[in-house]
This record gives sequence, C-alpha cells and structure tokens, in this order.
Amino acid sequence: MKPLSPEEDTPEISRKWRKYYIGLIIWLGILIVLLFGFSRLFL
Amino acid sequence: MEGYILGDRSLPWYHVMFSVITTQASAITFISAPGQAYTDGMRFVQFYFGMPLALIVVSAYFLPKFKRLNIFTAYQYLEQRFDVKTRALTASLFLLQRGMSAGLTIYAPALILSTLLGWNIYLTNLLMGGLVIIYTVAGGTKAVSYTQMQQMFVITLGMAIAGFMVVNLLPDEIGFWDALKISAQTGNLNTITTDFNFNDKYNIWSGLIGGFFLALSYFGTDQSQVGRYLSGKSISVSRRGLLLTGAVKIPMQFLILLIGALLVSFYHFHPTPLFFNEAALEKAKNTGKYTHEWQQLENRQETLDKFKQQQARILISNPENQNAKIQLKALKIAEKNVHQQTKDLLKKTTPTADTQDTNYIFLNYVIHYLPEGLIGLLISVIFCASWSSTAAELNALSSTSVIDLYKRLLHTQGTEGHYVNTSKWLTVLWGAVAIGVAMFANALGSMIEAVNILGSLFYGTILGIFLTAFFLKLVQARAVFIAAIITEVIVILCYLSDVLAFLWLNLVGCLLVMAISLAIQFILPKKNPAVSRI
Repeated sequence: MKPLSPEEDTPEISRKWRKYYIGLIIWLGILIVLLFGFSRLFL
Repeated sequence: MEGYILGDRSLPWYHVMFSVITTQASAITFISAPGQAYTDGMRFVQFYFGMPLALIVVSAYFLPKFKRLNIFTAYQYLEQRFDVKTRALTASLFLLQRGMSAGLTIYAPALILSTLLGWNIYLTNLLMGGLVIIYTVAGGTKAVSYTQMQQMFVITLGMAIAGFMVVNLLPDEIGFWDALKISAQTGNLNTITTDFNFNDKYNIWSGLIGGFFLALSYFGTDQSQVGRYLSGKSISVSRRGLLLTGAVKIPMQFLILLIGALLVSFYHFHPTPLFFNEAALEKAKNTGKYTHEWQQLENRQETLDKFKQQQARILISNPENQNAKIQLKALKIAEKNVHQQTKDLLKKTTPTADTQDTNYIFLNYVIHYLPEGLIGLLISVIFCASWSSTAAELNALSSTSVIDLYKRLLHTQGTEGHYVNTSKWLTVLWGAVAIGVAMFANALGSMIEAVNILGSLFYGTILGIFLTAFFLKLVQARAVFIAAIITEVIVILCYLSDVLAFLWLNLVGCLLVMAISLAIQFILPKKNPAVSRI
C-alpha cells in the first residue's frame, strides 16, 4: 500500500486548500445571485 | 481486495470527479428533473445549494481522516473511534437505505423500456438490473469508474441535443429568449424562492441548510460516494475531484431543469397531452367507461391549447402586454384543473392506475417529437445514467457487507481471494435485492423525490454518528449507539406524522444524535475517562 505523502498535512497545504474552499463559497454566492436574477429577469 | 474495492487507490482527479457526478446523477435525475421543472418550476435547483458547502467539509475533515487510516469503507473509522457495535449499526443503516434506493435506480430505465416497447415492467426490471450486475461483478471499482467516464460523455451529448431540439422545434418566429419569457409567465423559472416554510420542500433555506446536511451525509458517509473518492491517488487528487464536483453540479442541474421549463413553452405551440403516461390513459379509455367525460376533458384541453398559443404569440409580439401575462397565468391554472380532473377520472375508471405522470413528461416529448436516431440516443442516456449509479451502489453495498459485516464479524480468517469472491457473490445478491425493490417501485410518486425521501430517513442519523465521532471527542461508544437508535425512531415518527418536509429530517436526525449522545454521556457512569484522539 502506498504510504501517504507527508506534504498532505502541512500548514502550507492547508492554507492552499483554504483558498480553494473560499473560492467555491464565492462561486456558490455568484450562482445564487445569477439564479435570483434569472428568476426575476423575464417577469 | 484493494484493487477490487478501491481500484488500487490509483485514479486521477478527473476520474474521481466524473465518478462522483455520475454516481449521484442517476437515470432518475434525467427523467424526473425535467418533469419536475415542468410541473413545479425550476426551484428544485435550490436542493443542490448545500452541496458545495458540504463538499468543502468532506474535503477538509472527512477525506483526510479516511485516507490517513487507509480504510476501505467509511464505517471502519467508526470502530476505531467508537466500537464494533456502532460500526455494524451504521453499516446496516446504510445497507438498508442504499439497498432500497438501488432498486429505484434500476426501476427508472425499466419504466422507460416498458412504456416505449410495451414490455412487461417486471421482466424489464430483471433485464436492466441483470446487465449492471454482470459488469460490476466482473470488473469491480475500476470497471465502474472507467465506464462512468464513457457514460458521462453519452449523457452530456444526449441531454444537450434534447435541450437544443426543444427550442429548435418551436415555430420559426419563436426563439430561445421568447421561450423563456413564456415559461417565466407560468412561474416555471422560479429558480430562487425565498419564503421560509418548514413544510415547503424546495426553497433557498431548505436547500442551503437541509440540502447541506443531506449532501454532507451522502458524500461524507454513504459508501457509494466514499468508495468513489477513496479510489483517488492521494488526498489532493480526491479533494480536487470533490471540489470541482461542487463547482459544476448546480450549473449542470440548472441546465437539466431548464429543459423542463422550456418544455412548458414548447407545449404552448404543440398539443399538450391530457395525461403524459399515455399507456395508462389508453387503458382507461379502452374500458369504455365515462366516454362522454373523457371526450369533454379532451375538448377542454384542446380549447386551452388554442388559447395558450394565442396568448403566447401576443406576449412575444408585445412583451409589455400585461393582459397576455395575466391570461397565461390563468390558463396555467385552468390546465392544472383539467389535469387534476383527468387524474380523478383515471382513478375512477381504473382504480389501480398510477396517477403520477411527472416521470413521463420528458419521455413523452422524446418519443413523439425527436427523430428516431435521437430517441435511441436518449434511451442510451437513460441506460448509461442508470448503470453508472447502480454499478457504484452495488459495488458499495457489496464492499460494506464484506468489510464491515462478513470479514469483521462472521469470517475473520479468510484469504484475499476468498473475500474478493465473496464480494462478487454479494454484488449478485444485492443486485437481486435491488431488482426485488424495483418490482414494487411503481406505486411511488416522483422517483427523484422518493429516493431523496428514503435517504433523508437514514442519512441524518448516520451523519450525526460521524459528526459526533469527529467533533464531540468526549462522547463514547455506548452513548452514541443508544442515541442513534432513539433518533432513528424519532425521525421515522416525524416523517409518518408529516410534521416536517423531508429535507429537514437530515438536520433533525443529525442534531438529535449529537444532542442525545452528549446527554447520555453525562448520565452514564464514566468507565473510561480517556478522550478519543482519532
């Protein structure tokens, strides 16, 4: 079995992934705003 | 075992992503979702709002813990944190829930075949389920993941063409934006609904909160998904696959629902069927009963169709015409009345008839309006989607049965080969159970809802056990075990008494397990004060 690479758990790696997590939350926010606009656009 | 159950933990991120997406999006997604958008509007998309948030939590907390322990199934973690009893209980709840919903994923395409070709539904269930079992048994996880990539390609192509054709088959002077304008007037573009109501199934709040807990439970604790991302090469690879799934799922679901919303406009320019399950309608008419009433309903629908087309054209020629907007809304209400009366008459004529036709709306359009080659392509889409989900489900059911119950409790000293063979046999057995469930699925309403309701009954409890394991370090095995059983009884009672919309059951179940286990932990005599570090 391949041992887990040690770099997976370093604080740098955690910080790197935190950026992606925040990016995904922002993306969700953008989608909700767009969908809100879409639901009102043609009324 | 490692190779058969987790594909040697060697898959790249795009395999993880496609595998996670296609496991979740079964044939039910593609058959029911457009129908759901046609009848109830696009607000179903809100159901997925909690998913990206849940995938962040899974990537940050669940995935590293599972990967670090090098486990095969999520439930193995629970033994290390609690005890074998809690692991077996959680694995059994999963098997019960997933075994039943695997039946529904087989039933969906079987239903199409039986409607299209006039085959016996029971025989079709048997054929559909049997084919999935063969390749899942033969290839294990790798076969499932590789076929899912190809299946995703067919699904994307087929759905894109189906969507394009809805607009293409509108009259020449009606374009895509015009079709949207018409659907907006009938309320079908209601992608965001902000009214808060515990009994309302789909609004932004139930989607964000209830959907978050359902998705967290599904992606964090359901082996059919955990097995998908544990097969990734490393934590980073699996994370990338999961986060990209979170990014693409809502747009993908939006596009599928948009087909249903566009069908509303489509049926302003084409005759709307009185009832979309034409086989059931024909059967009722052929009894010779209530001939006059049937004729009356048909005449009313015909008149409505004429008015719908007329008002839609007025709106397109003058988008500010308020009267046309009001008329289109009123015509929709009138059409709903005719549809309800059709269902009532259907029930009166043939009491055993299924009065739900949501699942037939998309198929009815495909069969009647698409050219023959494309009908074939769309049928392949349904097959691919169903197989991709069912294969992952059977794979997970068999690996959980072998790893968490058989190998752990019944036969602890077997060889690798013995367990691989047992996995294969259990895949066949679970396939047979799923086919059995499919035989009884006909009585359920919208299939996509049925699957989610079934999930919500068990997911909250399972998630509560995992969150207790992760975050309530002082809670020990006995407390969480008792709490899980009490919670499951309460959740089922809540569902039966119709107190809450089903999405909230995930939240209630999860919070109850955590609260009750904490309370019990304080009441129980302290045997071992050590706090878990896992």
